[in-house]
Amino acid sequence: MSEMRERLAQLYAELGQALLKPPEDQEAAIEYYRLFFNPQGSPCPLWQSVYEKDEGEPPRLFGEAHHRALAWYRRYGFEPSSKNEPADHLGLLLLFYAKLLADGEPAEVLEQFENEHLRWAEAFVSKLKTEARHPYFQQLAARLDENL
Amino acid sequence: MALTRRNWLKTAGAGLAAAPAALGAFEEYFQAASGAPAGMSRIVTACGICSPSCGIQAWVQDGRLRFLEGLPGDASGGGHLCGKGTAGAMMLYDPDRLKYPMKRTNPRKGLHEDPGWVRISWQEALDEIAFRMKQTVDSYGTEALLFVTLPLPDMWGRFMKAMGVVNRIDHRDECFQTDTIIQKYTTGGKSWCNDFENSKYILLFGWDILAKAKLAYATGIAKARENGGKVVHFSPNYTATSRFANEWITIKPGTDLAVALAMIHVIVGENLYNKEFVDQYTNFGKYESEIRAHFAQYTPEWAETISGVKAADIRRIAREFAATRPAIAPAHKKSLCANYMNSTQLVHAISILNILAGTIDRPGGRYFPRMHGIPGVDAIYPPPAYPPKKGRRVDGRDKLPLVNEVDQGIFSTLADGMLNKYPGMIKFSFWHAYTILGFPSPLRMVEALKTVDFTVVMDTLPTDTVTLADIVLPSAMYLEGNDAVARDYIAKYPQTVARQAVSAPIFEAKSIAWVALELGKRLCPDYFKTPDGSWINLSTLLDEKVKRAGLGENFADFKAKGLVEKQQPFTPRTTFVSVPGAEGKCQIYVPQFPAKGADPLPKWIPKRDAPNDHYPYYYMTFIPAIHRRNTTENNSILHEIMPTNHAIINPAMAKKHGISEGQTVLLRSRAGQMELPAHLSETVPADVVMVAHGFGHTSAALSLAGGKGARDGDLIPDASIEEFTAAGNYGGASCIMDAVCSIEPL
Repeated sequence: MSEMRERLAQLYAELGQALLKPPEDQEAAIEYYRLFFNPQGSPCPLWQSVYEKDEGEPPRLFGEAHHRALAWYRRYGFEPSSKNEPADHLGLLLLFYAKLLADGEPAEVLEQFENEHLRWAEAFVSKLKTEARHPYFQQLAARLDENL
Repeated sequence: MALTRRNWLKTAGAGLAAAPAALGAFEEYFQAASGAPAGMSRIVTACGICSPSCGIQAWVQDGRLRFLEGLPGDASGGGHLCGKGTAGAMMLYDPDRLKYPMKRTNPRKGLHEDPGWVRISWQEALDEIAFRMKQTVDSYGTEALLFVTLPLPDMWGRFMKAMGVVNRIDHRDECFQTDTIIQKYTTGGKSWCNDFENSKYILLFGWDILAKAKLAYATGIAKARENGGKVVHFSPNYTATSRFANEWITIKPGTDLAVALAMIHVIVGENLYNKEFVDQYTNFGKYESEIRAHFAQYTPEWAETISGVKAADIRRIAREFAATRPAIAPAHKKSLCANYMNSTQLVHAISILNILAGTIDRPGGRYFPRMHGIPGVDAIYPPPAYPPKKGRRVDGRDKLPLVNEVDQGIFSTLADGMLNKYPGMIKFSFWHAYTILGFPSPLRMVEALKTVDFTVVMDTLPTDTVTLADIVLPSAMYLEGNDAVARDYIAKYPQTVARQAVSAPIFEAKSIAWVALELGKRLCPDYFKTPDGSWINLSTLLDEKVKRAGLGENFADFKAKGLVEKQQPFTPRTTFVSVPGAEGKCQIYVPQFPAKGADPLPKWIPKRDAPNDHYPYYYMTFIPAIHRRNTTENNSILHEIMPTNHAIINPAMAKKHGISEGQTVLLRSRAGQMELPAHLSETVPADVVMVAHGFGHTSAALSLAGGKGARDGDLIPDASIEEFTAAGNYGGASCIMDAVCSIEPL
């Protein structure tokens, strides 16, 4: 693996992880839950199918994007460990993308995955930029914006 | 985007310190694929949006629900689903579903405070709740616990009984509590079964039965019309049911009681009742002189002065109702049983009309369901003796013996109890599947909840109550659980549908039965053990219920069948009321009532709030066909059809006040005020303002419904228990629509 690929893989894995796990700092963790898992309604849902209107179906969890993401993972012999959560969580998608990079998948494959599963993230990032109040997530939004 | 190409160029200068361990995270979140995706499969289950629980065929692919349709052969839905039932799939995957147990970090509470939520484990949540409950009971007694929930399922009911909970309260005072009380004493019990299709005369007071979109009823009414039956509808406004009826008669809001009393006057006075049934199966003979003397005062001419319905029409309809057999005057829920201060009396009067028609448990009438006997947990694992309930009822229910007897409660008086009667008494509250939007004057309930030290909310979706919680628990929804659901709306013979999970609960959602078990283990373990000393297992319990009900060897066997029925001939009942002194008869005159603070025969009392100089208009609310109370406004499909509510007024009222279509108006009542756009419609009388219930969820709480429309309850006064007793509201009818208002353009 080239050094550049490795650095990119590390970068996307790190961004993915930042979306999958709350930061250790208590205030930043509260912000994580407010943004993504707010029991009063989350301003920035993390799942692709919430942003995409499927044919005849309004945005929802476990929509077509979930099924397509699952198919990608399975093609490579994997499944998300959590069976009860959608497979199109941006953090999972970024981790998987990092894996593709690290495993030396050709550029066409990477591009196809980007088109199918990362393009939408623009909408997520734009919400995050507007909604984030804590510097940790303001920076994360900026990094995602820069790299997606 | 050309992400990769862009980054090949950019990365060198990105300046990001890549965490060497980051790639290792892949192993944490992914595992080896366990097999090929499953194809499309059909799963039988049951709807949970409203009570008939129509049978469903769910089409599931790769563990995820794709769509829902009706279950052929199912009695409730007749093989169909209504719009709400079909759209239930969107509730399962609503992006706003509550996902994990969460805990508040900001101690300040209010609708506009940020609670500062953090995720906690179920273990942590249950330990904390158990600790708080124990601490509360040890320091203040069981009366300091408030449970706002139905006593269902049976495991949850067992938990509350084992804890000696005094203050469990549910919404049925806004629904059918009055009918539960009245039917217990007049016909032998509340039933949902109305044999509309075989009825020749259907007399509807207020109930907009077709717009409620309950297929079990709508289909029956449609068949009745096809079979030549007549439908008469008394309603202030012109509704879907009015349009369908043979006759729609407009009536002043809250005066149906006067018309019903006058109809009894005519039927009894002219001896038009079903003599055979009345002589054999009712206590008419025993109390004939009391009954005749009592109803003599309620002439149609008197009723006309109150209701605006012409005396000649009342007389004619009473005679038609008595002469056309079989006839039925159904009572259902809110619209007839709970709207006004006089709803208990109305329900009693309507029950008498059915008894006089002689159609109790007869073809074309109200009948009792024939159901599989599915035993509850207490029959399968008999519990140790439950502790006595000790302490004061915060809603003042103990002042109404008949409400006490049926163990329900009064939403309308809860805030008054918490704020004025017993301030500070409630230290801990647990809310399951109820929101403050369901209360009259919801903001009073918010103030009341702020006085509680610790509040737990368990629900499927964010509600305004979540905002005030200390711990939030994600609840599984009906498509995620297993159960045996007996048909009880169309039930001439037993039929039961297997409700089975279409998939495991999403994220960390759990059932309330599981929560009961887990809290039980921590707080009252003796009640949650089987005879051999092991913990009750919920799957084993369901297997045992299914087996004892004769539905199958176990749940797996039952669900493979999907639907089990036992066809048998319909044998009409010959004994009815089982309370002492009733001698198994239907009771027109209820001799047990005076000792319980109630009138043995229904007497006229007016609705609570009458139009006056300050508030000249009747305020009416309704539950639109599109939505299920306040629970479906965030459903993306239903939201698209009806996203918000309006003040619906007659063009004549609009003209008088200079209001145009869509213009924002200010409505005021003695309880509060609200702003919303006007909608002009000839269907509403010129002295009525109508507003749909279910809207006005606090902004941001729900991604679709949040901030849309106005809370209808803001104009409805809550009450003190003394107001109820003084008015003779012995059934605790919640007055959920008993309000008057003013209107002005903004």
